[in-house]
Amino acid sequence: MKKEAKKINVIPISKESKNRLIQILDQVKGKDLFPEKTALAQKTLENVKLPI
Amino acid sequence: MLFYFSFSNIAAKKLINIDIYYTAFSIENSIIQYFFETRGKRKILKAVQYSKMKTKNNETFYNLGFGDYNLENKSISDKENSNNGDVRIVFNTVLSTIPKFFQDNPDFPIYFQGSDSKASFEKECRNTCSKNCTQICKNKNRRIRIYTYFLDKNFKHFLKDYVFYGFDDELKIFVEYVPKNNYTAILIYKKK
Repeated sequence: MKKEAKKINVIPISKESKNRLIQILDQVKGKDLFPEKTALAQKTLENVKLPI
Repeated sequence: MLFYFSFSNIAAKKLINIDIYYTAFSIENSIIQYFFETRGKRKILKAVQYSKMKTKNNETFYNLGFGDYNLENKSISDKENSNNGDVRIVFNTVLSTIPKFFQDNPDFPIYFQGSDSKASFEKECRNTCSKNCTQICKNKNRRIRIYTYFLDKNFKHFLKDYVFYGFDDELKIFVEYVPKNNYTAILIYKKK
């Protein structure tokens, strides 16, 4: 069986696009963007013991 | 910029190129966020979030969330499929955040559960869905099925670096992950 290596190539974007992403992220950082999902996880794992 | 997945095999004979989108990163209030913009048919902003949480037993885990970020209403939609023609790149970009996460947080597991795995999903879906499913709602647990399908296909490869558990929804416990079994959530630990 052939062994496989995965080489990751980050698709380049412009400096403007990078700055825009950083700006958007700055506006939301630290804020829970997935409140429904965190509530669902909390509820599902309420009385569950983690395996490790 | 080129780098390697932490689970890549350095002594490889065959090289596979995986494209990912550039991600912007932030960490604050125990919330780790990655933002990227997809370049499929449309430009779509995507967000990946790891939120630090605790069980009642005070065990820490990070909940993984992923979805489209709407700039207008400044919120996430993780309920729709974008169908933007770049699913593989998007998927690889999300996956590429996992080794980065474990680099900084090797002691805590990642928990993933799809928004379509909640108990009330089937009822909500039947109210709006046009599929007219008879017995089983085909949309329920769809997201976790996509993720576990990918995991199953690459399971041996991932086992080198990670330990997986599946959530048994009937027994309400985590069990050792067995490919092709059905789970409503998965838990991933970094091997030490």
